[in-house]
Parts: sequence; structure tokens; C-alpha cells
Amino acid sequence: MATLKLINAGKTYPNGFEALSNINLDVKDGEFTVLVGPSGCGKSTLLRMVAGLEEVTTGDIMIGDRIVNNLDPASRKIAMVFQNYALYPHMTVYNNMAYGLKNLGTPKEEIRERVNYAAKLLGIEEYLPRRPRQLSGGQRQRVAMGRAIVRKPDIFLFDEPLSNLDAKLRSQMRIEIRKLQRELAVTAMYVTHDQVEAMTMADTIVVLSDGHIEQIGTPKQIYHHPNSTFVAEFIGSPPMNLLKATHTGNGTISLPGDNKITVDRKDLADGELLLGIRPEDIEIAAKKSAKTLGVDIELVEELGAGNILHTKLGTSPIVISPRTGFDTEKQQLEIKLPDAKLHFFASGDGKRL
Amino acid sequence: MAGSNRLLTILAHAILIIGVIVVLFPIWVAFVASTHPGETFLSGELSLWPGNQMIENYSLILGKGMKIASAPPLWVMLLNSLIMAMGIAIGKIFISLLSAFAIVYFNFRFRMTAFWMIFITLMLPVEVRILPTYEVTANLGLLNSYPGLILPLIASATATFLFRQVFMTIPDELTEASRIDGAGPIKFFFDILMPLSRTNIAALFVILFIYGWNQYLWPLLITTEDRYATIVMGIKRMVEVADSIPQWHMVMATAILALIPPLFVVISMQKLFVRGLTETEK
Repeated sequence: MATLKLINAGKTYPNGFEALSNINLDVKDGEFTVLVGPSGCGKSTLLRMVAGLEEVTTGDIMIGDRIVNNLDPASRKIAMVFQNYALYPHMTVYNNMAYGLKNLGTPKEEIRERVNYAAKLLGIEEYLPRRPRQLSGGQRQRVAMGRAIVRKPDIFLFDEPLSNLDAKLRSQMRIEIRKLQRELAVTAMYVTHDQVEAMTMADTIVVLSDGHIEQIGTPKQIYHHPNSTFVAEFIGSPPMNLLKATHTGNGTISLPGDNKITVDRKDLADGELLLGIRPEDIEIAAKKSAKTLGVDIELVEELGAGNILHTKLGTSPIVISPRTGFDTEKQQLEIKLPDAKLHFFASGDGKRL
Repeated sequence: MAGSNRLLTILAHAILIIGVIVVLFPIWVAFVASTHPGETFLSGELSLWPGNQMIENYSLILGKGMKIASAPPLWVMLLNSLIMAMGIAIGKIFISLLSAFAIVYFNFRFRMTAFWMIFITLMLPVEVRILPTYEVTANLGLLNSYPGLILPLIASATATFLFRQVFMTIPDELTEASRIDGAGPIKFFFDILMPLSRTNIAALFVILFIYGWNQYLWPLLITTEDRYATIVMGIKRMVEVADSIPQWHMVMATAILALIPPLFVVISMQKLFVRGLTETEK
């Protein structure tokens, strides 16, 4: 159990490619932090730097009160779960879990105790004498976690551990990992490109893009107050609608297709901006009025529990996932954009206004 | 596939059976000849059924050898061949495992240069470098010794290359997991790499054992004393005896006995051997 601190941490490869720069991050004891971002954003590199598998070229990484930059992975008191499990194929499940402890010179009795404890916790006791290839994906995943647990690490590191599992198992393991982490109260860092995993598991989400931190916050903060269009589009499914709009002064905003709305934001500068609204925040109006906008329905996706409507406002596509029922026969729809749910972003760098 | 077509199945089997006969018939003849008195073979009318001299012939060749051909008792030559073949096979595997380990897992200057230099030696088999190698061996005082028989044949670019390919198929995550588990390079090598290359080691052992067993030119050059003669040399010596008729029944008995150890190695390691050559899943 420990805190994790990254201070101006950065990574530049020998060929000059800057994978990460100026990473400042403070993970509290027992906190579950999820690093999320598109592929190539440096999230795995960051995790591997904490693990000690990649060198830190600038800045410091602190676990507890130790600077661990130059420590090798084994002495950092971390444990890592890999995407493809990385179990030793020639060893039994028991030996897979015991290997790290053996290397530390832990007494045999204690090894057996800890492995049995972890196996019981994960419900894999009966697989202990088997080899990894005799196990299913989910079981292997559990063994990989068991291997992490027996080490009693200060920090758990997860590198996309669920991406090799099928959808059903994934949501089940998601909950299990989270429960387990709470039960053991170990600080955890989890890398994923799946925003659903990020939202459901994290205490804190760190959104990364192109080697820098785009936003840090709780899932709610990230979802309801995205700092930039990047975060707004990345988190949430279907993603937030972004409309090209122009502020013509006094809170009047002109939208595509000669539409206008008035908002209570006197601080906005005149000129072009991006207006964002989440698909589920758009309300469907029963009648046309001065406050409604007319959209053409192009496609309806049936989800069973609800629908996703692909519509067009003028020439701009808008996705709506209505909370209320609507008439599927209609070709057109009147919608309302609630003031409180609108987000404004600068049209240039996409920062929140 | 063709299994559904009866005619094709029969044809396929016929071809296979013919192939087996072509391979086995000479061996059968050799065995038959080794069980008859020497004169039978020379008379030109060799029966295709074993004679009654088997025990005499084999015990003579195993126990006493052939004085005229200056061939020592066969068991000495068999033992020499065994020591040499084992030495070459184990030595080659050990050295190439280590060099492949260095090339794949360590980042040092001129790593690729080292690899290509090893690779280039593929073009230089023993026969090509035989004079300088002899000179070096002689200067080291290794003529007429087991190290002299074994050492010059130990370095192997083929095996190094093979193990390099094997190691490269082992996922990086395994290496990283073992680093996190606190395994240093030596531990990683013995605990992870060696067990994972087990089948490849077995396959290579079979190939290299036979390679070592069949060595002819090098032992011929390097040994002059009978007690270091190998069996392949021995057969040749027996055939070319000055001022005498070749003792074919003895030669054939030697040949049959020379076949047994490699055959034993192949059969006992067959399962691993096949897996080593075909297995891709790590």
C-alpha cells in the first residue's frame, strides 16, 4: 500500500521520439486510477515506466517516499497483469504464482500459504496443479491476478487486462477486479482504451492524448465537464455531438441550417466556437416552438432498451439517444437543447470555454 | 483430401511401400551378409535369408576387432563415436543457446555484427576450413584426444540461428513478467528459456547427434592411434585392407552395429523431435 507520484515525468526514445512529456500525477493510497486514451497516446508506456520496464528520461517517479527511477522492476514492490496474461506456459498454476516469491527467497511454507490464500480469493484452487494451456481465458486472467496478489505489492499495474476476453466475461471481470482491489485496498493503475472500463472502474480517470495528460478527474467530472473536445468525444458512447456554431453576441448562437438558440453565457466572445451536447441530453419536443430545432431522421438504431437516432440539423449530423419514446414513423423531429447541458469549446484548440 | 478416392489411396500406399523397400532392402542385405561366413558374400550368390554365423561374427567383431585392418575391437570404436557425437551435440547446443541468448536478449554494441559474423560462418563447413583448423588443433596439442575430436566441430551457426528464431517467438511479456518476478538473466535463461525451448533442443540434439556420429573426414585427420578410431572410420578401414580380400561379413556387421545408436536416439526422441520441428505455439 502506497501512494504513487509522477513529477514532470517524461520519456524520449533514443531516436528522438517524445512518447510522454510533463506527466504530473498524484495517486492516493488505495486509489484506482485508470489511464485511458486512443492507441499510441503513451498510456502503456507510462504504466511500463512505473513498472520499471521502460526508462524514465526526465522527471521522477515516486512510490511511497522512494524515488524509484533507477530501481529494477523486482525491487519496486509492484505487480503487473499483462494483456496476454504472460503466464509461464511450462509451469503449473501453482508455480506460476509462486515463482516471484521463490526468487525472493521466501520460505516454502509462507509461499504455500500465500498462494493458497490468493487461489481461494480468486476461486482457482482446483486449477493449481494445471498448466496455463489447460485453462480458459478468464481462468488465465485470474491466475495472472493471483500472481500479482501473492507478491503483496504496493501497487497493482494492469495493462489492458481484459481486452482478450469476450464481452460478457469482460464485464464480469471488470467488477471482480474492482471488488478485489477494494478488498485488498491496494493502489492500482489500470490502462485501457475502452472508455466503458474507464468510467465503470476508476476512482480517477487520466485521459491521455499524444503523450500528454488531457484531463484528470473522477468519472463524473470527466463525463460532465470535459476540458476539451478530445475528452468530450473520447468518453461516452455514442460520443458527444459537436456542432460548428457562431456566437453573434449576447448569448445568441447561430447553428447549422439557419437555426438560432439563445444561451445564458454572457462571457462568450463573439465568433466561431464548437457547441457540444451529449446524445442523451437532447430532449425531444412534442410540438414545434421558438425554442425547438427541427432535425431530419436519417437512421434509427434499435438497441432494445432504447434507440439511437442519427439525424441531421441542416448539414451537421446529430446523434440522439432519447430518454423518452418517440414516434418511429416520423421523418422529422423537433428537439430541444437544454441550456444546462450545453458545452462550449474553442474552435481552434478545442479547449473548454 | 484424396482420402475419399480409393484408387489414389492405394497408389499413395504403394508409393510409400516402394519407398520403404528401397530404403530398407540394402540394410536387410547387410544384415543377412553379416550372418554368413565371409566366403558366402564373395561367392556372389548371397541368400536373402540369414545364415548361422551371426553370433560368431558379431562376437568376433565386438570383442577382438579385425587385426589385419588394424581395427580395434568394435566396442572401442562405438564408445569413441558415442563420446564424440554426444560431445558435439551437447557442446553445440550449449554454445548456441548461450550465443542466441546474448544476441536476442542483450543490447550491446555490434550485436548485429556479431550475429551476421556467426551467420556467415554457415558458409564455412569443416571441409573448407580443414587445414587451418588442423593447424590450430595440432598446435594446441589436441591431436589424438577427445577434445581434438569434439571442440573444432562445436561452434554452430545453424543452431545459433535456430535458437535465435525460437527465442524471438517467445513473447516479450514473458521476459517482462519474469523481470518483475525478480529473475535475473541467468535465472531467466534456466527457468524460462530452456524449458520453453525443450522440444527444439531435443530436435536439434537428434540432428546434431547424427551429424557427429557420421563425421568421417575430421576424425580421420586428427587421430592416428587406434584407440581413438571412430566407427565410421573403422568401416572404411576394414574395406580397404592391403593385400587381402575385404571381409565383407565383418564390414556388414560393423555397419549394422553402427546404425543402432543413431536409430536409438531418433526413436527415443521421436515425439519431442516432431514437436520441436512443427510446434509454433509458445
